[in-house]
Amino acid sequence: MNPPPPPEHGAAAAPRRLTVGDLVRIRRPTTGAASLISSPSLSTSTAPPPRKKPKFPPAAPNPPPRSTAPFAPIPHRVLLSGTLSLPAASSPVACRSHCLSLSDSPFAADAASVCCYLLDFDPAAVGREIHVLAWNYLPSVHRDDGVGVLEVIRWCLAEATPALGSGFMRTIPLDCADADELDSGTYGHVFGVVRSVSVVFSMPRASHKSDVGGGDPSVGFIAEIMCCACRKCRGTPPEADEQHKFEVEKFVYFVDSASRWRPVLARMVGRPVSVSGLKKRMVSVGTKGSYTMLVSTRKTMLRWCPSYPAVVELDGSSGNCGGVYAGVVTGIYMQGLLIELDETVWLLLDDQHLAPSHSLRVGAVISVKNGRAIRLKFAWTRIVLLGTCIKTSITINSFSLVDSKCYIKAENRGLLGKFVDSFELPIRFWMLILISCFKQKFTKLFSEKEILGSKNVVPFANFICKGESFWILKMLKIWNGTEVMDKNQRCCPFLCDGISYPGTGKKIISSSDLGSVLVGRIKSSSLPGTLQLVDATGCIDVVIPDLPPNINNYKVVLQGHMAYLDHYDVTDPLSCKAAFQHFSFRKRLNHLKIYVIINWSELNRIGPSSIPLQINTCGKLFHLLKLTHIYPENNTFQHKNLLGHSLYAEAVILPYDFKFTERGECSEHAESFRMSCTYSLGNSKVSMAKSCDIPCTLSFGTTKLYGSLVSIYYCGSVGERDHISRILLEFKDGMFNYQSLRIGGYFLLECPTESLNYSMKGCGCLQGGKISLGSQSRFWTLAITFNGNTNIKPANGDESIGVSSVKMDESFSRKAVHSEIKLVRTWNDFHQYCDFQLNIYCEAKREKMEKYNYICHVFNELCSYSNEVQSVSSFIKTRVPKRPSRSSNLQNDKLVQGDLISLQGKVDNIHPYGCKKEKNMVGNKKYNICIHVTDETHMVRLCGYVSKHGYPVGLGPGASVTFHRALLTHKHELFLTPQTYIEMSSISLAALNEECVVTPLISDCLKDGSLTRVPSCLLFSSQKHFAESRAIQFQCRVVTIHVLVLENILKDSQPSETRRGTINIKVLLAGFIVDDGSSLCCCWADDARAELLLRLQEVAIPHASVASKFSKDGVNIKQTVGSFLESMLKKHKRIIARNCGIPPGISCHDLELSSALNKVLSCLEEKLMKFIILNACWKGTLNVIASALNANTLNGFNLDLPDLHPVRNMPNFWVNQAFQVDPLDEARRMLGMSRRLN
Amino acid sequence: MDSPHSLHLVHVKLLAADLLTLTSRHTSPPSFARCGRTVTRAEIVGVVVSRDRREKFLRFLVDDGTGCVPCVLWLNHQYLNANNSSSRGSDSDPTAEMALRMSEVMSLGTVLRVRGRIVLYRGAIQIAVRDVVLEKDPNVEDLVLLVNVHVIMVRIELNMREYGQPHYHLVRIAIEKEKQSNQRYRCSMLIWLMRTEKADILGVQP
Repeated sequence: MNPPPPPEHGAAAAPRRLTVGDLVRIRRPTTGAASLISSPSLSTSTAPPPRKKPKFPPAAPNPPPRSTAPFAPIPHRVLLSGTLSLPAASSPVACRSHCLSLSDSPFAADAASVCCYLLDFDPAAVGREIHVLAWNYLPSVHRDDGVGVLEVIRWCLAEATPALGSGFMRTIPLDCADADELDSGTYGHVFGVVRSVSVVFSMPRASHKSDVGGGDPSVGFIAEIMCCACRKCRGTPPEADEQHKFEVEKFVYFVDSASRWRPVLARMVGRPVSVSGLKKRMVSVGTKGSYTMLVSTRKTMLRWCPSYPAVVELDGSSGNCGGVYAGVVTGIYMQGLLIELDETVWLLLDDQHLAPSHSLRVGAVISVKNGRAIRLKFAWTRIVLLGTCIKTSITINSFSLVDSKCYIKAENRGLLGKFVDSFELPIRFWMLILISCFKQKFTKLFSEKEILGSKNVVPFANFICKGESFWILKMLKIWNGTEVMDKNQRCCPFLCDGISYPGTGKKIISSSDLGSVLVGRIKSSSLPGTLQLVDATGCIDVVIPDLPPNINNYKVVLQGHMAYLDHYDVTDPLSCKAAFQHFSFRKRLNHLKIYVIINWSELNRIGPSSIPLQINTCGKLFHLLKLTHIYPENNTFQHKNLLGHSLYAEAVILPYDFKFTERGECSEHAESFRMSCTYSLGNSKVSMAKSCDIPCTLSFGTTKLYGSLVSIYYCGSVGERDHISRILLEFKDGMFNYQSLRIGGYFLLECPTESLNYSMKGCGCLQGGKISLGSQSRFWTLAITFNGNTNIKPANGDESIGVSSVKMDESFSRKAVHSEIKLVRTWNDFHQYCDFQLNIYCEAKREKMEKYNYICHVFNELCSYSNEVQSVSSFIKTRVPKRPSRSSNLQNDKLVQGDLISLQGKVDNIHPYGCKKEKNMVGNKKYNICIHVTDETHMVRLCGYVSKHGYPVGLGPGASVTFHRALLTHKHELFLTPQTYIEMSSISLAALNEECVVTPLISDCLKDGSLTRVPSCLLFSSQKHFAESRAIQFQCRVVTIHVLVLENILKDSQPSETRRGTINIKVLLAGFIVDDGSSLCCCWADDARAELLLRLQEVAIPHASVASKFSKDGVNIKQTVGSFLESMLKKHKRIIARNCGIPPGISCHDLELSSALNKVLSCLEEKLMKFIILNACWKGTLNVIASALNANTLNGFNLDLPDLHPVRNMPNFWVNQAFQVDPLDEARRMLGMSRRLN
Repeated sequence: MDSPHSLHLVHVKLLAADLLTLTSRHTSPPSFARCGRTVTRAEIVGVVVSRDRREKFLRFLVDDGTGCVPCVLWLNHQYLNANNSSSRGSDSDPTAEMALRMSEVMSLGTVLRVRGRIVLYRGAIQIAVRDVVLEKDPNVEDLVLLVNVHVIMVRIELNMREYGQPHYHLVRIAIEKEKQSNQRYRCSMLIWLMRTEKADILGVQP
C-alpha cells in the first residue's frame, strides 16, 4: 500500500473534475470513476481543478486504429459532470432512439455534448446537471461524426431535487413549447402504463391533409399505453392513492419534435405516465380499416409518477410478443443480426434500431422486453430463438468492459434485404445459418451470388470434426461402461499369431440423423481410384456405389480402433455458434476413417453432366473390351508417369469391332451397324463382302439400333481364338467414371486413333499394348446379352456359356444382410444400367447357328482370362491342406512363387502384420497388414504390403471384399501383391455369425469372452484356475529361463541380409519361470510369443566384443537382440540352453549351452547367449494369456529338461498370447472390475 | 519348509510402507513376515529420490508415495557370488555388465520397478537389487496403488460373501482395520474412494 497522501494535499482527495469537452478529446475506450478503492489518488493537483487538460493520451490529430483492446482505466479519480438533455437532432441515428445527451454548460469555453446511455434511468434527471460517478467512454463509434458515446454506470444529481409539478405527477422537462398552458379540455390526454414503444420510423405524409407542408416524411414512434378507464382519469388529471386499473389499450403517436422523446419513453416501459396535449386522428392501415390514434402536438407534455410502483404486466404466453429475457451477450454475428445470449438463446434482431447498438457488445447484460421466444428443434441441436417485433424494446442492464468493438453496422439491410424479412422467424434464423455456412464453404469456389442461389449445407471441416467428436463420445461411453458396443464391434483385442491387435469399430450414421446436406465438388483425389467431395474448408472421401453434386441422402461411416480417447475441447461443430464463427479445424484422429456413402440416384447434380451419351461419330471404330484386372495405385507402372495420377487396368480386346455402316450420319438415324472382325488383314471391302451376319441390336436408352454382327474372319477354326489379346488401359487424370469399372465387365471404346481402317491392327491401339484414355475419350459400359439373356446357352444347348459374374451375384444375394450397404452394384444392376446393351441373337438357320455358337465360344473363352472368384470355403477345400502350417515367413521368402487367385469373403479383422506394430503405423508409405477373411464356415488370412494410398476406402471388419490376383504360395499361404486389387462389395454392421467362424486358419484363436482373468496378486496359489483347461489371463514378469531352443530358419543358399528388423531365427520352444507376485509358474511358448518374452525384437547392445563379432552391419548401428543370433545359429543350426540354477535365482554359471551339431560354442557365443537370457529376465510386467499344460506334453519335444525341485512342482502353462501392459488401460479395467465386484 | 503360506520364492509386490514395516524374524539369515507369511523378496515401484554411487555398489532411495525404500545394487559381481561355490570370477561376466548398465539408467526422478531380496542393513530393511526396470509410463505408479486397494476390495468381497454383510459396513471395517495397523495411506485411499464419485464402485453411500 502506498502511504496516504500528505495532509497538505488533503484537498486533493476530491476527484479531478472533468467536463464533456475533456471527454470528447479522449481517443481510446476509457473508463473512469469518481471513487477508486484500490489505488489512492496519485494526483497532486489542488482544488479547484485547473482547467488544464488531464493526462489522457494526447489528442492525436489522427485517431489510432480501433482495436478490440479493452477499456483503459483512468488511474485517478475523476468526476464528470454535465447537463442531461434529450438527444440533439444531429446525433447519430443509432443513438437517437436510446441515448440522451450530456453537455457542458453553454457558457463554458469549449462546451461540448456527447451521447450518453444511463443505467438506472430516472426521468427526474432530464434537463438537470448530473455527476457521473462511473462511466465508460467509447470514442468515435460512428465514423461519420467522430463523437463517441458515454456509458453511464453510476450517477447522481448535482443538486437536491426541486419538486416539479404536483406531488403525484411530475413533469418531465422535455422541450415542449408551452408546457404550462395545458388545456386538457381542448386536447386529449391519457394516463396509463407504457406497455411498449416502437422504434422511430418515418412515414410518408399524406399530402392533401398536410399541415406542415408536403414532401417531408413524418418521423415519429408509437407508444402503446394501457390506460385507466375510470371516469375520473378520463376527465381530469389523475390523482394519487387511487386504485387505477390499466385495462384500455391506447396508442400514442409521438411525431416530429416529440419523436426525440423516445429514449425517455423507452425507459418508462412498465411504468405509469400521463401524456397530455394530444389530439385524435384517424389512421387507416392499408385495407384493414381505420383506427383512432392519439397524436402528439406542440403542447404535448409528459409526466410520470415517481411514487407509483412499476407495473410490469407483460403477456408472456408463447407466440405473443410479451416475454422478458435478460442475459449476457455471448456472441454477435452476421453484423449484428444475430445475438447469442447466455450461450443458449439466440436473439434475432430485425431492426438495428431496436437496441443501442454501441452498447450491444459481447459481455453486456441486456434485457429484451416484449420479445417472442420460440423453441427450435433441429436434428442436430435445440435452441431457443428470441424474435423481435415492433413492440420489442431492448435495454442494457450492464455494460461490457471486455469488449469495446461495435459489431453492429447501422445500415446493413443489404445483406439479404427484404427477402429474409418476409419469412417467419424460424425460417429467417435458418436462412442466416445457411448463408453463414455457404459463405464459409464457398469463399473460393463460388461467388456470393451463386451461394445464395444454391441449396443448404454444412462445411466439411465442421462435418469431419463432428464425425470425430461423435466417435470420441462413443469411445468415452464405451469406456465408461454406459454404452455397450454391438456384438460385432470388437472391443476386445484380436489375436493373430499370438499377438493381439486392437479391435476395430464402425458406426454408420444416416444423413437424416445429422440433418445436414453436403454440397461440394466431386473430384478424383490425388490418389487415383478415390473420389472426394471438396469444399473450401476441407474434403471428405466419398463412395458412390452406383454410378451413371449436393447430397441429400447419405450415410457417414466412422471406422477406427477401439481405444480410449480424451475429450475434445471444442464447441459442437454443428452448433449454431460454429456456423457463424469461422470454424478452424485440424483432423486429430488419424486412425479414424470417415467417409460418405451416397447413391448416385440420390445425387442432385448442380454442374453439367460429364458423361455425354451420344454417338455421332459414324465412320469410327468401336472396340469391344472385357476388363480383366484393375491395378491398385502406386503399382509398377506408376513410376513411368510421374506427372499425372493415372489408373491402370488390364483388358482383353474382343476380336470384333463396331463399325457403323451408314456414312456421315448420326447414329440416332443409323439403321444398322456391323461388327467387324479385328483381324481383317486384307482389303476391308473384300472382307466385308465375306462377312457373316449375326443379327444383333445395340440399344441405349429407348433407342434401338438394328444391325448385324460381322466377322470377316470366317468362323470355324477354333485354333484362331488365341488372337484375343490383352491390353493395358490407362485412365488419365480427370476421367472420373472409373468407379464404373468392374472386373469382368464389358466396355465399348471408341478407337482413340482417327483411323478409319476397319482393322484393329491398323488403328494402332494394339501396337503399344496400351491405350491411354483421357477425359475426352469415349468409353462406355456395355452389357452383352445372348438372345436377351446374360447367361445364354448356345442354340444346341450343350455348352454353358456365360458370364461368371452371374454366379457371383447369387452369392451376393444369398448373404445379403439387412444392415448391409452395397458399395458396388450387383451384376444385374450393372447390366441394367449399362450405357449400351448389345444383344446377339440367333436365327434358326443352320449356318447362322454355327456362327452364333462360335461367337458364344469366343465369349466363353474370355472367362479364362480372368480368375474365377472363389469363396473362402471353396478355396479351402481345393487349395488348403487340412492342417495349415503354423509358420508364416513372409520375410524369408525372397522369391515367393505361386498362383494368382481371386478370393471373395467378408473381412473379419484387419491389423498391422508382425509383432512390431508401431513400425507399421501411420506415416509409413506402406502398411504391412494382415487381413482375415471369412465366409460362413472358414477363415483365411492374407498378408502383405498395401500402400497407404492403395488402401481402399471402407476396408474394415464387416466389409465384403473381393481380392483379385492374390498370391497363393506353394506353402498355401495367401499374400497381397502389388498387383492385388481389392474390390469392396459392401460394408455391413451386421454381426458375423460367431458359430460359423470355426476354422481359424493360423492360430487357435481364443474366444475373447471365454477368458478368465486372474486378478493381480490373487493368486496362482489359489490353484482353482489350474484344473480348468480354459485360458486365463494374468500379469507376470520373467524371473529366469528354464529351457530355450533356438533354430536357424535360413537355408544355406539364401543370403542372410534381409530387411533390417526381421529375424531369421525361430524360437522352437522356450520355458520361462514367471512370477506374478504370489507364486512362480512355468510358462512355455514358441515363435512370436516367445520372441516377445525374450525381447528379441528390442534393440540392445551386448558387450562390445560380442557385438562386434555378431553384428550384421557393424557395431554402430542399432540392432535388435535377435539379429545378433543369426550368424551364430547359421553355424550351429540349433542351440539349446538349459538353466540348472534354482529359480528364482539367476546366474550365468548355471546355464548349459549345447549345439545341435555338437560343435563347441565359443566363449563369445556363450556370452551372447547369456546376455540374451539375462536381458530377457530384465523385462517389465507383461500380460499373458495362457492355458494349463500337462507336463507330459513337453515330452514330445524330446528335450532333456533340467529336473529341479521347485520347477517340478510348478504349474505349467502354454502361452497363447503375450502383450505389454498399458497401465492406464489396466487401471481403468480394474476400476471397472471393482464396480462389478460390488 | 514350503508351506503354502510361504512367499519366499516370489517377489511380492509391496508398497514401501508395507515393506518397511515387515516384522523381521531373528533367524540367520534374517527372514521377514507379513500377515503370517514369510516374505524374502519384494518388488516396489517408485521414483528415485536419492542416488549414491560408490565403487562397489550403488545405493539409492525409491519413493512410492507411502515411504522411501533404501536399495542397494551391487556392482561388485564377485561379492554377489561369494556364496556360490561354482564362481569362476570372470571379468566380463554378463551379469556384472548388466548391473553396470542398470546403474547407468537409474537417474534421479526416474520411475523404477525394483526387484530384489529383502535384507537388513544396520537394523534397517533394504532391498538388495536383483534387477531394475525403467518405467516410462507415469501411470504405473497409480496403477500400483490401485492394485493395492483392489486387493483390499477383493478381500472385502470375499468377506461379504462369507458373512453377507452390507458393503458399507465392510468398507468401514476395512478402514478401521487399516487404522489399527497404522496403514494411513490405504486408509486414506479408501476414504478418498468413499468420498469421491468412486463411491459407487464401493457400493457405499458417501
